[in-house]
Amino acid sequence: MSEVLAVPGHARAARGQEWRKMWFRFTRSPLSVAGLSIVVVLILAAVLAPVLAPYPRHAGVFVDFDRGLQPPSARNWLGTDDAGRDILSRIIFGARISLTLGVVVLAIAVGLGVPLGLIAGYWGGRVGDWIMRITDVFLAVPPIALALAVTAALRPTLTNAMIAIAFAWWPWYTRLVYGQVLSLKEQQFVEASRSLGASRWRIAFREILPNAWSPIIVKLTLDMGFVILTGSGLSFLGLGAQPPTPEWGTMIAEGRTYLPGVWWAATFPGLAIFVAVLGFNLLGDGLRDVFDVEIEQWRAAN
Amino acid sequence: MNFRTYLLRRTLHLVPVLLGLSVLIFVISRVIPGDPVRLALGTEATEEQVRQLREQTGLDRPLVVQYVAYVAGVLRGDFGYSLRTHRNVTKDVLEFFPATLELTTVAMALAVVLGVPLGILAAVRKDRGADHLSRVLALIGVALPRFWLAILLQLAFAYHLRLLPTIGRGPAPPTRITGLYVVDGLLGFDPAAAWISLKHLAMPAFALSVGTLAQVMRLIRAGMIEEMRRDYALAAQSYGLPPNLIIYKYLLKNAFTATLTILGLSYGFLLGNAFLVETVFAWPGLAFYGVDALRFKDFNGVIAVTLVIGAAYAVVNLITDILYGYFDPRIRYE
Repeated sequence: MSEVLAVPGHARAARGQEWRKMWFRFTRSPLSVAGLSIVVVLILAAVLAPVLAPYPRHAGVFVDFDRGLQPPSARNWLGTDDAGRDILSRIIFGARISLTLGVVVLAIAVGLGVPLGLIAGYWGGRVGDWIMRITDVFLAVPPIALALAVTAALRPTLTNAMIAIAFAWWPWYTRLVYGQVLSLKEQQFVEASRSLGASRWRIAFREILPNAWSPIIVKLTLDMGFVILTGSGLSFLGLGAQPPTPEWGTMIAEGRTYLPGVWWAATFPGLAIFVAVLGFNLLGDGLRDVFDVEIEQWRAAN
Repeated sequence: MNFRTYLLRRTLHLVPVLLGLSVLIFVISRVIPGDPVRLALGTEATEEQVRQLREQTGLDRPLVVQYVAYVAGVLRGDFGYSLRTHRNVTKDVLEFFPATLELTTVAMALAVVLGVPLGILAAVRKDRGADHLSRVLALIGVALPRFWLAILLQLAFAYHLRLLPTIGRGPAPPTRITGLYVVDGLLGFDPAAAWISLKHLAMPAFALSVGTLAQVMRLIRAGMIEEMRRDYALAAQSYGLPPNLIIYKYLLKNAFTATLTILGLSYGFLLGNAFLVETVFAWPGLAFYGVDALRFKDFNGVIAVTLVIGAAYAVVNLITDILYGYFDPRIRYE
């Protein structure tokens, strides 16, 4: 009879084994591992910026016009900008800004989008209809255009750029969760829970939501890259972080004025954005394969 | 439901969405700290001037009244007065929109024209050199910041190689018919003018298209590989039909249908990135105009740009749905 007993320890062991299998599958793909490595490096750069950056003071208000616009050299590996600041140091500090932007935007998007999707999918009815209709309205313009319209109404700061992007981003999570709930709510475990008399809240948040996490996590990872891309785009247009913030998009906008002679000031920050986005994309693709979920990845990302 | 009813319904569905969008943008633009009228007149303006302009633009009336007046205006084709360019926004939109339409359409065309053959190549050479290369290119294409790529292209092709013009659209062809310079040049039998316009278009259109190009390539590859496994492909093969005929006549049509639904969404992606690419190339399009309107808090300009972009996006998605019905008659319009 012992084999039919559900022992909590067994479940934990089984789950541990499951994770190990996933990890094994994940590490089989060099691209996924590359993605994970890039993301780890980014996080380390952000956390250890003051230690890693050769000139930590150059991240903020610092000027040394005598050393302005120096090409890459042994002293400044990636050259200096117009105010004589070390571009490498600024790029390392920029990782903090981009990661913070990504995390804040997606936290708001998930915080708003996921509960709304759950309610629309599980409660349905008139409230659900309205939620999905409003979602449609938000999805009727490309996110970056909507975010831009919001920034028009606010002062151009990094915080406001985050608010603007989050404002445009949550509907994608509502739609994702809505779809998940519709397919999960007819499944047997939900049926079982319902027949045991569980409340709607309990079913929605304790039964359905935990089973909808894997596509959300995959989407979050992919979106980190796209949100960073969008944020740097807003800053590039002068509608996000303002100089002298070492935001990558702002740095490109500043460096661009010294083209074509000073190629490094605009090129290296762009490379940083590219690598960051690539890292999250690769990691997201890897997680998608491991979790074996299908999500609309090829959508209008920004 | 037949196709015509489906189309009608699908079109009617746009009305509440666009109306909702207008409410959304209108509310965002009016719930603002700061006074656009004072901003437009500058600090030198007298109280009297401020009051006059506010009355003239209707900004002194209640929000709901303003909104209703605004929508009534839009339905008559009147987007209101611009506090920045000091003329009707409708005029501005008509002047700037063709440039964006031209840019995004050529970018989309590039993505399809280059993406489809590359996708087929990758599918046919699955797990060989060309396939791996296409995978790497696709990953790069999706992750590249469009505005950065635009700058790099400028650096290489305009500054160093001097092959292409750095910025702008070039001179307008003598005859203005559609406002699309390349088309106008051709329609006016002026191939030289069309060629100049095309040279101006090359970099912005390519910079804008890379992401979509990568998507099309991957989707066609995936679609082709799936179709190759189907029985009908095997049957065609065993009949001894030439491989190229099978690929282009039978497999591609089915593989392309799946890609098509994504193209509508991608068009939104192109419109969004147009804000960045037009800025880099000083491309006098609607997005370029929109960014200026944003910087000067010209709200009638901002609302008009957002609405026109929303409408353009909606229309493209509608067209995609129609094409989808054409390519795949099996779909039922529910």
